[in-house]
Amino acid sequence: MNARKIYPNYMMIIPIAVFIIFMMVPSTLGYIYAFTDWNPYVEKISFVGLANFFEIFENKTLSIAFINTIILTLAKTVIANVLGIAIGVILNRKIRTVNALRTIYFFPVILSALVVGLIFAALFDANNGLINKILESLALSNWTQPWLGQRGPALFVIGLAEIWRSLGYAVVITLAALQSIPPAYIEASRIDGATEWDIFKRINLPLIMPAININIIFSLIYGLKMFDLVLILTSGGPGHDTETLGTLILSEMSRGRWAQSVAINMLFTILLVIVGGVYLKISNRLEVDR
Amino acid sequence: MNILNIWLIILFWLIGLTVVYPIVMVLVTSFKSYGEANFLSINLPKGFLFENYVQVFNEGKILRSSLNSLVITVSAVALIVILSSMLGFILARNRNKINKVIFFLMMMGICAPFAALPTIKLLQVLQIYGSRISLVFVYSAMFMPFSTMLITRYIATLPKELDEAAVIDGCTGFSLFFRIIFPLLRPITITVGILNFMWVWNDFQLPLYLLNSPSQYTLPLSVYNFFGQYNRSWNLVCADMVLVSLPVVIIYLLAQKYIISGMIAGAVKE
Repeated sequence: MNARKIYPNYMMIIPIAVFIIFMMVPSTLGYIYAFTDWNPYVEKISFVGLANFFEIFENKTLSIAFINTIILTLAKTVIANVLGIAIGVILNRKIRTVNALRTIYFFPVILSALVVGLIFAALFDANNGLINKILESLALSNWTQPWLGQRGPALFVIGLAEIWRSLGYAVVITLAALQSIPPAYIEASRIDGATEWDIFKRINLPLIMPAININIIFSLIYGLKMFDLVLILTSGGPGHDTETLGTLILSEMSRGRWAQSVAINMLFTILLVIVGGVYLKISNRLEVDR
Repeated sequence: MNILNIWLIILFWLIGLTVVYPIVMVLVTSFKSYGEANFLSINLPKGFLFENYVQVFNEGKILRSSLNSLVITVSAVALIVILSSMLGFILARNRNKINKVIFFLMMMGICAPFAALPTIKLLQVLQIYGSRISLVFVYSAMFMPFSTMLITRYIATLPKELDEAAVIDGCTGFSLFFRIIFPLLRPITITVGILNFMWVWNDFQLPLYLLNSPSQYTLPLSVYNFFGQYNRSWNLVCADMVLVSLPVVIIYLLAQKYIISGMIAGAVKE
């Protein structure tokens, strides 16, 4: 019996139809609209070539949003992963209460971005927020500020919230990868006289690297897509100072600039697909290695 | 060495405090009066006020939006689990060129951002814009790629001899899948189900774009709007936050193992 009969392709029709209709068709539609003058007021849509792209490139908001997105993504990816690996490695040393700590560290990962955003909005509230209160009580009154009302501090708070919610993930991934390392490897190298640092650098790190690589790519992808936290904390404001690509698409849309909005979405997709392509490449290479 | 460990435990609990403190703050504030809640802290309230929850239920339309969330989430999760399993079954077992291309497109689907405007346009053409069912389909399309990836990998680890034995007994296609394979997928379908439940339940980007009448709002979206109206009433907002998080927290505490193993499966190659 052949595979086509045992595993008939018609079983894939419904799943693929759902994927094509609700994911690929809208995306493709968007790439076409990006080259038109689509907006709420136009009766007959006509092609305008690259005009939308020239326009959004001249517009300063796109570059601000792009820079913000990159800053937040890189900060989150680097800090959450470095801290996460460090914490994971130390937690792996059979520290007491490790299970309780792991549960606590992972907790923010399950919360809605909405809740995380509101928590940080509360902590960094200009008038009654805990952070300003602490600064005042430490006699650092000149450090208190309307955190979410200026670009720099607001980006700092958004980044901090993002790190807070994703740190636990990196910790848990690191711990899991470490625990999958056969103890014999470590014992053997101890017998050969390796120091703790040698063991970490030569054995643990290379063996947990595949997990970390993938984790980094996911951090990058979800970091670039960052949307809800920004919307809740600043809505992209003041002005457009803290806009990210995800929120800029919404704000262009709500101002009736539909064609520009889909044009940005198209650039955004290209950016994400490049990152995703790197992910595929890495994961394929790992597959060959094994 | 022992001293070092004690210091490490202290350090780690201090880090843990940055997680615990905000959560306790939200919990405590949700029972405070308006005046007390103005000062966001973990000081215990004078009296525990359940009125906040009552008020949130009445003014925030929590009951209605919880039901919407529940209907949307459960339908979407069921659809995602079934569709991804069927797709993963074929993709894992019949590895021809076309199926490899499909798998590749799925992986790209993990990266692709949500195309909001064209999706709205499409849903209008299909005449389901603004309905709960439209969210079910869009969520399915959006989260299917990741679920399919996990399930395909899992099926690839099941011995093919199972299929062969079933084929001899006359089971192919759907009957092979539903009688033999699908029951064996239970560990991964539970994981995929729980992960998707959390993602769909917590999400508020899609409802924000795709729902236009308050009677269809999901829980996170109604909380978001509530915050917009009452952003000085932290006691009410905190009560809202507790209510949104309750289901996922309960699931987390009950099924921590599955959630963590699912997230790891996404990152660690078998």
